[in-house]
Amino acid sequence: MGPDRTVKDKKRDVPFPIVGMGASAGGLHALECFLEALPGDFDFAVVFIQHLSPSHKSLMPEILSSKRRDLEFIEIEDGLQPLPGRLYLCPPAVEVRIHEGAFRVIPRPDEHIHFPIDEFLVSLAGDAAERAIAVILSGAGTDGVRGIQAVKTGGGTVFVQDPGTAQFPELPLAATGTGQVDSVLPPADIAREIVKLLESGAVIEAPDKLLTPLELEPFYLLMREKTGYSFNHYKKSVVSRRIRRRMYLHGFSSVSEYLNMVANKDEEAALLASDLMIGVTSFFRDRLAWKSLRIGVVERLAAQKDDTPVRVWTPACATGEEAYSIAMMLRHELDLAGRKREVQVFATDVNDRALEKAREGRYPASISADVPQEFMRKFFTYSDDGISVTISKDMRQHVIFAKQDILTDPPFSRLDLVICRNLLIYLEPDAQEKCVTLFHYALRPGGYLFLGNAESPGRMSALFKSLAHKKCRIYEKVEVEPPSRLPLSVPFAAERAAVTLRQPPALDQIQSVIQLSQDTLLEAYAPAAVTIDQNYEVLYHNGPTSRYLKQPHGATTRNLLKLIPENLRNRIRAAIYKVTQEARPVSIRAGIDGDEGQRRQVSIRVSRIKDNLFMIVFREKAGLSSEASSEALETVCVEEPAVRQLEIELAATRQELQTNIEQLKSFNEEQQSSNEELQAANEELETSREELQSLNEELITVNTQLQVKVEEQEETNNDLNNFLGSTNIPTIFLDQLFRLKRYTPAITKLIKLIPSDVGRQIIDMSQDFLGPDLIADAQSVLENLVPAKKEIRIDNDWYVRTVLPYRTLDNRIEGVVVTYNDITEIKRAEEVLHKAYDELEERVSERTRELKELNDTLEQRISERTAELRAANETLSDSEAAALNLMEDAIEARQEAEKVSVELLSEVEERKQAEKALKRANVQLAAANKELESFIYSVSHDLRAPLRTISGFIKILVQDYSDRLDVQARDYMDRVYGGSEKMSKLIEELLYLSQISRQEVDRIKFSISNKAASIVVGLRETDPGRSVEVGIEEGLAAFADPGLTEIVLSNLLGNAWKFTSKTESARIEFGAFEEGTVPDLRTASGGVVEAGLSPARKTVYYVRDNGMGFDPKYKERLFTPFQRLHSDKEFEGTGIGLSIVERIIRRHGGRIWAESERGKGAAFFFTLN
Amino acid sequence: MKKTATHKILIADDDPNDTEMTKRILSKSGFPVKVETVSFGEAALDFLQKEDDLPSLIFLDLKMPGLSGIETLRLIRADERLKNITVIICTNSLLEADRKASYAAGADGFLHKAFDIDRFATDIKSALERWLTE
Repeated sequence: MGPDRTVKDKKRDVPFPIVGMGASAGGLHALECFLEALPGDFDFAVVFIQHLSPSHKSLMPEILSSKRRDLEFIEIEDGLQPLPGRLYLCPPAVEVRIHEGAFRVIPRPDEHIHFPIDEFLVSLAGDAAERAIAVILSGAGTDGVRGIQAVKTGGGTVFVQDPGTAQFPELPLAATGTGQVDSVLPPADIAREIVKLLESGAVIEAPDKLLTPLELEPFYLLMREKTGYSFNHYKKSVVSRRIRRRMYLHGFSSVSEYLNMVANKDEEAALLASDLMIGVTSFFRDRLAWKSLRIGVVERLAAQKDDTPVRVWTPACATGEEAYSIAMMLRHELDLAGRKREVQVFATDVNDRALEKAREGRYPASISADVPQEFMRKFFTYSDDGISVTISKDMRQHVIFAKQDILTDPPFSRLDLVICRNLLIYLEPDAQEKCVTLFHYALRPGGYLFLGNAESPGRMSALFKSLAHKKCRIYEKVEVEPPSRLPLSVPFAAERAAVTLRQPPALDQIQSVIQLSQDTLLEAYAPAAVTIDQNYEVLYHNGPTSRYLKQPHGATTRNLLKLIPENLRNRIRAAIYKVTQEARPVSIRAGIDGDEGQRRQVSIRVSRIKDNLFMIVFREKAGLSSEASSEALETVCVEEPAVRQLEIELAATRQELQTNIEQLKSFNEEQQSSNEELQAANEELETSREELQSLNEELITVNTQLQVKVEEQEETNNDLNNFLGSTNIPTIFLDQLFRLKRYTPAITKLIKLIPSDVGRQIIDMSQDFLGPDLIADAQSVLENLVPAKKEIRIDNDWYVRTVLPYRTLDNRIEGVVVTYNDITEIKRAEEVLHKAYDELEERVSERTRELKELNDTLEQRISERTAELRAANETLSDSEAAALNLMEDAIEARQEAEKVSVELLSEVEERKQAEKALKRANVQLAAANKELESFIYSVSHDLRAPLRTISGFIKILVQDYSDRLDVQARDYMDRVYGGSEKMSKLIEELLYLSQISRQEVDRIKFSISNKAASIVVGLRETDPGRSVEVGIEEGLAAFADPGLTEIVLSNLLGNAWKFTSKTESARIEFGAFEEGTVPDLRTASGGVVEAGLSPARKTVYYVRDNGMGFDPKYKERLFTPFQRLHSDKEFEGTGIGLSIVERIIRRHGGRIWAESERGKGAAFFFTLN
Repeated sequence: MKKTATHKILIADDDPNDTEMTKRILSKSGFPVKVETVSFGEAALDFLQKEDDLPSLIFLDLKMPGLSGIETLRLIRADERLKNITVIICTNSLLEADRKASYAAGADGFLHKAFDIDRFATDIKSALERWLTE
């Protein structure tokens, strides 16, 4: 909605100007310029009429609204009343008029050529009169030219766009060509001028703006003086407004200033005069009225059997449209009726310029809107450029244009029809009366008067009676008594008086005397003469013309040829012809028979007095003797046969001529008809041309509108192109038929596309470069709207081709979008990866093979080693067995030896022998021992090496090949190693055993407590995880071999350590007590021990623990080698340890025994002496 | 004592297993070594005679078929060219008498082939450290 207009609306009752703007091509731009200069609050309505295409919706309201948001643009509807301050736009496919202050919308007429601007402006001129302002803008053609003329006639103002500023200057130029333009300016200036014009009051009738009669008077005088025209009888309001307008156009606000200008500038006086002489007409103005004229008058005239020419007078003919109109209509109707009657139209006006134009007979082609097609064809020829038409020569002949001031100059006479339209309204009432009276006189009885729509005979209605209905303004002359006289001199006496006020009255009298004298003289002395026109019609008689002219029998005639004697006819005709040709008077002599039968000699002088006026003077030769007369007669008689002969010859020639003429005529007619055919064809072409032109204009308008849109589009396009170009992803856009719509530059990586490929079917283009099944994918995408992704290979590159549906803003699917994502790099990387994988797998399998091989090798080695081990084991067992045997033997031997020694003790006599035996046995024993020991030693020693190999290499195997061995192999390995370890331990102990037997016992006194303590420390070190409570009696000393004692303690404490391994809160004690005492000995766990009694006082050392203990019934076996009382599962051990301990104690001469209770612990007791 | 980048070491031992074990220990000792092996005394002497590049160290077993270790040692020490080679007796024997005899014959060191291989490796390494980095 525009700004609040309620204030303005209140002014609705006040008339406001209406600006009718017309344009065709290029109008939009001009209108925009106009709008720019238009203030927001303007006091008039603007109606814009443009040639629009009927089949397109007009974008005008939108485009214009966007340019001026503060203005209201309204599309015209039928019945809508225009209001000031608004702009009205005509819709397409209709024509707009304005009537009684409201728009009328009518559908566009069927003819392709239509002139909407003319139609509107004409209606505006009629409806708004002086309030109408016409503006003609850029355009092609001439639509609007007629309209502005109408506006001008109506008293409105006309502005035309400066052709130099117009995109299409044709229309503005045609408009300015009419000379009916007030101002030629660029569109923006036009807007400003209109505003100024309003402010100056030149448009709307504001009472205070009217010039007073006092102010007007000097203007009248000036005009009369300078231009010869008198405007006194023009309507004062009209004159006033015209003056105001001229004032405004020159920028004068003071009347006196403008008066000065007019006085000083003749040009301005002429312009003002021309402005006042609004003589603008059109062809067949007011069709209905002319139709009535045709029916009521013209047809009637055509029906008359009269052969005399039809005489018509069109005063105030201006540029002659009316005159030609009636001429055409009359000719047409007469031809229809088959009458050969001539048509004479006298067209008069005061305006020279208008008459000049009228004589030219050239009009803009737009008159075809007013002139029936038939007339256009028959009576007009088109100019080469088709812009103007010219009246045919034929028609031109029918009309005589003459300058005549209706109010001062004598009128024509004996007229059949007077056409005076839209003159009377501009005259003051008394002047109007005069005119009517004039017309009454000029018409013959039964003649017709055709007035303008707003005119009537007024008070003089007694003189005329109207035909049919009053509205058509056709009146018939009513005869009145007395017959009207030429109201020439008397009514204008007053005027004359005004002019000749200063002249003495005597002059009048003198004038009449002069006149009288002249008349008398003429009568008395002037010869008989007649004035004829080119049609031999006698217009004036002077003197005794009756002597020579006689009315023939039959109907009265004015035709000279019929009035003169027959024998003179041809001669006079010839003479007249000669006069015309030779431009000098011609005299002939002839004999005329008088009434009394006498023949008179007459000299006839024919002269031309004006264009088409001739004077024939008859002179009789007075005083001619009868002889002279008879001579003359004779001469005549003598001449007669010759003459007769000539006449006969002439007649014959004439006949021949006539025949030729007839032939030519028929030929001519043929030509004419073919001409007409050509003309018809031409007309059709012209019509088409006009149509095309019209269409062109409309298209140009649409074009201009669309151009604005296109610019926007281009911008968007540019953005799109840039965006697509920047993405660097090959993309193609296809429509629903899979034709290429668009593509990104990057696609040229795949396929060379050029702009002309757009629109082609994608199938036609190389499929190889676009990947397989493109169409199939596209089809499925269109159907399912699910994107299709595919990895495709083109040449050596890989792409992911994605096909997506192309969705519009309003969610329609119009095609597909295909993108190619280069994944070559990725693929290559993948390939490399695969290769790497394969390689890796190969390597892995290789490794596995290697490993397997290794495994096999290992297994083999293991089995070998196991075999070796077994062999060694066997050897050992054998050695073991052998050693045992030897030991047994040794023990046996020893026992025997003891036995022997015991036996010997009881036998004194046998002592020596026994000693000897003993010695021998000892030596044997020693030898055996030695042998045994060295055997043990060497065996052990020899066993060691292979064992070392076994255990060593097992370890090496484990160390070096741990990563290639599986769990099972490791397990086996562990077993083998374990076995070899055990063996080695056994051997070590055997070695110990043997060593101990050979070793001397070196007794010293030492701290046995310290020894025990250091052993315990060692034990703790080897087994740091265990917490064992150890109690060592302090300060115990011993007198023994420290090394061997260490072995003893080490063994016993080690055992105690070992056998408490499964005991919670293990406790080990080392102590001593004196033998002989009976201590209350309990085992560490509380069991009572029976102390063994020993004969002498000895220190008994003990090692006690609260561990597993052993079954007491096997306590004898404890110290036997290889006797194990626990399974290996429970506690590991070789079974030799205690036997070693026992041997050491024995070597010391001591005793060892043990007490235990299974599960409650054990106690070992020993002495060292 | 020759200081070469790679130390040449000669092992003279009749037990191939012991030899192998010692060889392994030497190669893993961390010292750059090149190990040659012979199985008995005469072979050792032969090798030494023929060899231009004398070994830095000889590990000599005592009990070998033919020439005993002691005898071989004596002969080495008697040779002008060979007398300065470091010889370490490497034996299974635990006898003190063997130890005394070895040193008397001119051994630079006496190494008991410890039963525990790790222990033995440590012993060897100590010997190398002692005799090769002089």
